Amino acid sequence: MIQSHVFGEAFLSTIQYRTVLTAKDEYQVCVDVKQLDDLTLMRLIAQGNEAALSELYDRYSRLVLSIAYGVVQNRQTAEEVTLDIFTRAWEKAATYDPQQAKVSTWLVRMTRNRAIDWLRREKIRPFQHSISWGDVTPEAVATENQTETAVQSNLQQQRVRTAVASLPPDQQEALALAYFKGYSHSEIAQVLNQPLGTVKGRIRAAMQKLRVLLEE
Amino acid sequence: MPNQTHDDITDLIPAYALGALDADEAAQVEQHLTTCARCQADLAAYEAVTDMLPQAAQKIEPSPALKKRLLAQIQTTNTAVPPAPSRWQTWIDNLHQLWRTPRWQPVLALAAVAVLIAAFILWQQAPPAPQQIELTATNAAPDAEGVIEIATNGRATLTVNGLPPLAAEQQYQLWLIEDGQRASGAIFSVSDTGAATVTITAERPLATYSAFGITIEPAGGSPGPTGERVLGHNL
Ligand SMILES: [Zn+2]
Repeated sequence: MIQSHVFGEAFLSTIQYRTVLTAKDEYQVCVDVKQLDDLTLMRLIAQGNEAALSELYDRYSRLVLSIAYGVVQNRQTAEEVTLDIFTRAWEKAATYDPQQAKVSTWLVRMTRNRAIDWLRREKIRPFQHSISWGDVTPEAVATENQTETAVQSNLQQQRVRTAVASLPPDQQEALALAYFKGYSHSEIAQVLNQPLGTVKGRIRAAMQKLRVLLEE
Repeated sequence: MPNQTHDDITDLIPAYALGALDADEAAQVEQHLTTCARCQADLAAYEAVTDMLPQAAQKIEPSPALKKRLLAQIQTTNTAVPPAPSRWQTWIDNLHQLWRTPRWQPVLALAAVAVLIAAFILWQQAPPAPQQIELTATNAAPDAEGVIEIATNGRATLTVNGLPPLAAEQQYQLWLIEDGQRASGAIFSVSDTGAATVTITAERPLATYSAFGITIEPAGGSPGPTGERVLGHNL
């Protein structure tokens, strides 16, 4: 038996890899980014691995773009925000702290903050708030070639949509103004021309119901 | 500020998690949160709800051009993994600040000598630079680039760019060549842009091989090279 001399990066221990045993008793490591979990992807991105960034983009660009669009309500600007978020993910991957938030949550929070910053900078306060949540009907998503994670996230998405859709329309509206526009209670009250107490009640009731519906 | 009770604050937690409280109320919540475990737990639950909300947003499909722009952009800013702002530098800057304070000067003069000695020892222990082996493209993939980097601890990685993406039933394979014997060093696929970084596995230190080559092989690799060579290097 030949003593195997194994070379490996420090991150190797966290990578899901398969070893192929050949006639010569060599172990070969074969990394397919699609099989890696989000955290490992981030570690590879921190090392400047473009394939890993490309995979992160494939996983989350739709979500990031949807949030950005919900905030800025303009496709071109939303795409600029999306580009900015993934460029930052590339540059800041080394500062990502898994103790603080999941990778998807990190991206979601960063996107919401950046897009709302843009909105405030541009002082966009449209009179017409054409804010709406997505349709509850399931989207025709190609299910072949989907990883288990992708199937899971589609189910999760469906669950959240159904929960939000179950709220009364006035609660949905107040919630959307808070989440996508970053408005405070008093700003929402002003925009909707409703008493402050009413708005507070709607937000609280909406969040309490969602918590019950979405808690595992 | 009046001492807010839990009952006053607890109703504000959902809106706080959403970021919807006005500044005065947000400040009250923050103060109460420092002492109330129940509200902290509530906050975590409502933050989880907030983080789920975008799942219900209207879904928008990114244009294909956007991904191309991203990948082009990171190529130009490929100073990825920028050296972290040196703690050493920050420390020296802080020392400079102190130096301007007269009563610290004698202490600092002594400290400066100690630092010089420490720096000298560190400098003597500075590790040698990692070894890099550039791979050359063949006519089969003229745009390809590849480099093998051997760290000082012997760990080796292969990074490639510009290799044509392959069909699912094919993969690239790295060969470690010595005395006409070819051993497999890695089997890998590349991204849409032809990039990949893989760890090399070998029976002995990479520097002891005389040549390296990358060929196109059936997925999972071959016992010996059978396909076209796309990158190579003869030491
Ligand atoms: Zn409390």
